[in-house]
Amino acid sequence: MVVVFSILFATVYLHISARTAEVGRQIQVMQNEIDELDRMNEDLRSQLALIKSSEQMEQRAEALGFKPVQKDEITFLSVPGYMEPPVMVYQHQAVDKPPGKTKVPDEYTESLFDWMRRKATFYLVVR
Amino acid sequence: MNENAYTWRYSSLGLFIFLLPVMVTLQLIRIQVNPGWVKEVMEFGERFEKEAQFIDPARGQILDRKGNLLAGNQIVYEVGIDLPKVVDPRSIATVLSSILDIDYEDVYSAASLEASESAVYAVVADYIPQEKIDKLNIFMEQLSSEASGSPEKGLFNLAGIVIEPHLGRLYPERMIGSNIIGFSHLPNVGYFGVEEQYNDMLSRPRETIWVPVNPLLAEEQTDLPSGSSLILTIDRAVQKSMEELVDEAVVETGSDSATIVVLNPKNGEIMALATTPRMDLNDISEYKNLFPQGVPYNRTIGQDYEPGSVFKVLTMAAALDAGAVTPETQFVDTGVIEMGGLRIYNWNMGAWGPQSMLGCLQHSLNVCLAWVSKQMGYENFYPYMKAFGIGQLTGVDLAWEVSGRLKIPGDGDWYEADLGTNAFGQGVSATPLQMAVAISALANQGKIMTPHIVKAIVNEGYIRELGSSVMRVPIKPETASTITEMLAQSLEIEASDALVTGYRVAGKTGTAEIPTPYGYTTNETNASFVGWGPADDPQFLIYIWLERPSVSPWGSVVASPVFREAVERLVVLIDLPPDDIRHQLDQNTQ
Repeated sequence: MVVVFSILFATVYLHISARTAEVGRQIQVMQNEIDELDRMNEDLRSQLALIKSSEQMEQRAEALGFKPVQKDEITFLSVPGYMEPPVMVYQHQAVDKPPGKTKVPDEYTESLFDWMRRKATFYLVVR
Repeated sequence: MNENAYTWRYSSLGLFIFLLPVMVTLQLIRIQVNPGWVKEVMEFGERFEKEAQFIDPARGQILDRKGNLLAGNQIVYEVGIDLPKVVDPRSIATVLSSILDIDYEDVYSAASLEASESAVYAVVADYIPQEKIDKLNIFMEQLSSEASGSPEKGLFNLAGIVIEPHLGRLYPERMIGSNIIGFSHLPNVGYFGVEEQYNDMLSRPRETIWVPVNPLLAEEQTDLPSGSSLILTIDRAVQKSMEELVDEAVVETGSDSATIVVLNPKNGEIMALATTPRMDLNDISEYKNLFPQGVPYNRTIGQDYEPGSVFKVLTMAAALDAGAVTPETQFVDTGVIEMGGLRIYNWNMGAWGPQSMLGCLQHSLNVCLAWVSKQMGYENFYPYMKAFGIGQLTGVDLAWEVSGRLKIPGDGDWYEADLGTNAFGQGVSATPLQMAVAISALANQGKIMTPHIVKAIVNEGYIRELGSSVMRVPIKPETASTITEMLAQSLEIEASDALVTGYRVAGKTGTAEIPTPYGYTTNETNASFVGWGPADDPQFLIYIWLERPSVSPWGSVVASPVFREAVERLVVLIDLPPDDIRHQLDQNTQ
């Protein structure tokens, strides 16, 4: 009975440890992916800016048959109620959480012995 | 064989199996009950528990006032050599030097280093663009597929090459605004312009993060904020247009260099700073050729010069404000005036007879302006010039601004004659931006707004607009209106080349001889023009400086048309209607 219980206990412990290690590894891989994606985002923003650079836009406009407007070719209209749009247009995301370290609960990282020690300490101190 | 012959073997094996866990348990207990041991073992374990990762947070972006990216980041690569893995240094040197265009000997000596505890990795190239890395990867993949097919054919063994991506600077607009932006091609270091001035905000120091090797200890890493981004006051379209005009002006007037400053006198926002030379910010290899010793990176703030007659507007504004003269004050120009033992003549050596103050400005009479300064006296003249900011930094938020020089009574090299020559912009030096900022008081009801190039700072998603502030109030609003009207009339009476159809502007030309160690040059000049408009509600102030024009030495001939062209381009780009339409629109909205 003791042997069976021990084997069962060891199997469960090993299984949980293996799963924890696997998830931990996935976290590390994902963290690297986040770093890479952050870099790619920065890069893509710049690549987009290259495509939208004034030289490129001018070439495309000329290819489409546009030409720079002269001051005497402009007609100004008075539109009642028209509100001039803000000069500065900047897309930004509000920060919804303060920067800081996210604490993973102990249950996800501690070993069986750590857990037993923590519980024992708790009972000894509290009771 | 007797079964008993094996009994001792079974017994020994059983004993070993029994003793092993007992010993492990005893060791565990021994370690646990001895705190010193626990600490030592824990510390030993921790040494291998985590590995250091170095993270350089992304440098902040630089955008124009409409959100167009002027400076961003792109993926570039560091190529290094993992020394313990190197098998064939020659192969590595041959391949890297040919594909990455780097020196063979440098790579070979790095790859030949003997691996030791202190030498495990050598960087051979950094900031390598994606295209070259793609070539290298393709070559390495081909090599590995050939080698796997027939190992005996493998010519190169590239084991040990490490390619690490990181971020580097990219300037999508290349040359546009290069003198304003500056450049940064090394981590956390900015050179010139905004990149240097705001380096501490744009960059964040390298962070070292200890990442657990043990996956059981893996946890989410702290989000490292990137550097703050800057939104500038310039509009790339205006900047580009002014830079094109500068280039055209250099060719058409045969000048050594040309400079245009455009600012909004009402809030101090710099709308454009265009000058020569300029540089493709993505290729700094040309820096030393374009900016040899003595050539400032940005002439608008880094090169002071004697401005000549454009300075007369400051003298006249000061005299009007001090009550030394009025627009109607009459002066009889005899063609010469003596001040401090120096005889001062007009630009054409002529005598212009009776002149009002408007006539003095219209004909740009040195003798008259010297007389005006004499009426003020040095005790009034110099405090006014200081109040205009002459001889002082403007404080614009760009690196490497110089202050110019205003000699004042009490200085060892100030003479009484300087009062007369300073009145028409000789013996005093200022940068184009300084002149534009000083004269902006005339276009803004007597107030000088702090000139600035950064409109807002974006930090972790929050925008902080910097706003504008009054820097000085050198003259009264009435004086500003009076001198603006005088200068607008002056251009109209002269039928100046600076006049713009549909827009009433005020302005003044300047032609200055160039000081040398042997006196003033006679055949080379600095030609300038300052103007602002619309005269009844100034929205822009434009300062032009052409250095040593060869087509004509006169500011009225070479600089005035450049001003007109600048205004004609600007009003389209900033949607400024002609005066009559603007007045109609104003009436409709009231």
